[in-house]
Amino acid sequence: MSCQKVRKYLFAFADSQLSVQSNCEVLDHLKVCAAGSAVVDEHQAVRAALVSSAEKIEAPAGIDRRVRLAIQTGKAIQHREARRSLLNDNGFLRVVALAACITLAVLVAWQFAYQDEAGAWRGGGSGLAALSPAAETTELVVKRHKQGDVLCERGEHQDAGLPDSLNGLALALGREYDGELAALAPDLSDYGFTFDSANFCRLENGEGPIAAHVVYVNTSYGTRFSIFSLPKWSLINDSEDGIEPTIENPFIQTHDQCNQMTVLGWHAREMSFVCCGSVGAGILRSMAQDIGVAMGEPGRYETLDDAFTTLGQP
Amino acid sequence: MVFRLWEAERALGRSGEPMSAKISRQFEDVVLCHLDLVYRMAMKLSGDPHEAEDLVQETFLRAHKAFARFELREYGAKPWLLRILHNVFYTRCGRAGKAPSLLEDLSLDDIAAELEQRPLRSFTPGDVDWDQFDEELKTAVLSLSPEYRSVIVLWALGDLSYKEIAKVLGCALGTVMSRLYRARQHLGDALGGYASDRRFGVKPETER
Repeated sequence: MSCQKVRKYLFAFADSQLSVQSNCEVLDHLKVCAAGSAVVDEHQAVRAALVSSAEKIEAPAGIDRRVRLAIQTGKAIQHREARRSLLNDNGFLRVVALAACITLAVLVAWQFAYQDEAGAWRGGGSGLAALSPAAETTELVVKRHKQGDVLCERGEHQDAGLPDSLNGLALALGREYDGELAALAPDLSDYGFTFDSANFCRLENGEGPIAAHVVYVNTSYGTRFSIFSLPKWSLINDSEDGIEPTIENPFIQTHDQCNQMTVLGWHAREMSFVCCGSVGAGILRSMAQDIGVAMGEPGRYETLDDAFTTLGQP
Repeated sequence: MVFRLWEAERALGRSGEPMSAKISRQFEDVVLCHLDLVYRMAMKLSGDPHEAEDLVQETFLRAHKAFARFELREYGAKPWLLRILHNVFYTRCGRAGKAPSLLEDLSLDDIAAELEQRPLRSFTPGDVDWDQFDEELKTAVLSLSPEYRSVIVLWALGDLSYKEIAKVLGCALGTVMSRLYRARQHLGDALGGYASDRRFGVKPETER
C-alpha cells in the first residue's frame, strides 16, 4: 500500500475502525514509514490524554439523587434554581443540623415557657398573644410532626409492631380503628417522598383520639412529611362557620412562626386526615387531591370481607 | 369502601410487580448506569459543572420519557443516550434546527491530500507531559465549535465506533471522519502552540 493511499486510513487505523485485511495492509506499511507512524502515535496520544483528563472529572455528590428526582417529578431542576434554595449537597448537612437545632429550640421553649400544657396553648400563662383556633390546631400538628422528625432522625419512630414499608401498612394501621379501615399510607414517590416510618400518637398533647402517624422523607432534601389519620377531628373545622373541611375545600394553614411548614386537613367519612411538612401550599393541595382521588373511587369494595377475599387475606 | 386496599392492589399490580417498577428497573439497569459517563461528556462539552449537571438532568429526563419507545438493538443504550445528550447540548447552544457552520465534508482523498500538504503538528509522545497539559487540553476542546467538540468528545470518551458516532450525530460515516479530522487538526494546532510555549520539544514533521 502506498503512502498516499495509507494516509487516508491513518486515523481509522489508529481507532481500530478498519477491516482485518485493511488493518494488516496499513500495519505493513507503517513498519517502514516513520511519518505515518508518527501521525498514528500522535492521534492515539491525544485520545489517551482526553480520556485521562476526563477520568479526573468526578460527578458531583448527589447528582444521582437529583437525576432520579427529576425523573420522578418530570422536571429537571436547573442548577440556578437549586442554588437559590438550600439544596446543594454541601449545604444538606447544614440544613439538617439547622432544622434539628430549631426543632430542639422550639421544644425547649415550649417546655419551659408553657408550664401548663392545658392552658398555655391558649397563650394565657405566657404573656404571648392568644392564638386563633386555626393557629392552635396548626401548632399541635406541627409540634407532633417535629417530634416525629426528631425520632426519625434517631431511627426511633418506627413502631415495631407495624410493617416497615408501605406494603400492608394501611391495613395494619386500620386495625386500630373499630370496624373501619381508615389510615392513609399512600405512595408519594411521584412527589419525591419515600416512606420513613409509622407509629401512633395523640395530637392534642397526650389527650384526644389516637392518630396513625406515617412519616415520609424527601429523598433529595432530607425534609420530612407527615400524614396523620385519626377519628373525626373537630379542631380542623372552621371555628366561625363550623364548616367541615373536605378534600375539595380543606383546612390549610401555614405555621405562624415557620412559614415553610404547612398543615392541610380534611374529613372523609368518620375519619380525619392531616398532612404536615415543608411543602408549599400549592403542592400540598395537589398531593392531597391525588390522595383524595385515590380515596374517592366508589364501590371498589363494599365490605372488609370483600377486600380480604379479593386480596387473599385471612 | 376500602380505598387504601385499592391503592395496595394497584401498587402490587396483577403480575405481582407494577409495570412502572419494571420499566424503572430496566431503565436503571440499561440507562442510569451511564450517569458518570454522561456527566464527564457533558463537562467536556460545556466546560461548566453547573451547566453539565443541567445537561445531565435534561438528558436522563428525556431518556426516561422516551424509554418506553426505545428498542435495544445492535447499538445498545449508550449511543441512544449520547444522542439525546448531543441534542440537548445543541439545543442549549442554539444550534437546533440550523445547518452546521462547517466546511463542506472532506472525502478520504481530500484528507489524504491535506495531510500531505499540511502535516499535522505532531508531538513525540514521550516528550510531552500530558498532566501539564490538562488545563490547556480543556481550553483547546472548549475552543472548538460545538460540532467539532461533539465529535471529539464522542470519539475520545464514548468508546464508540465511527458508525455509532454517525448514529449519535445523525450524519454520514464520511462526515464523522471528516469532522474528526478537522477537529483533530484544530486541536493539534492549539496544543502545539502551548507545547511550543513551554518548550516541550514539539517537533514539526518536517524536522524528522
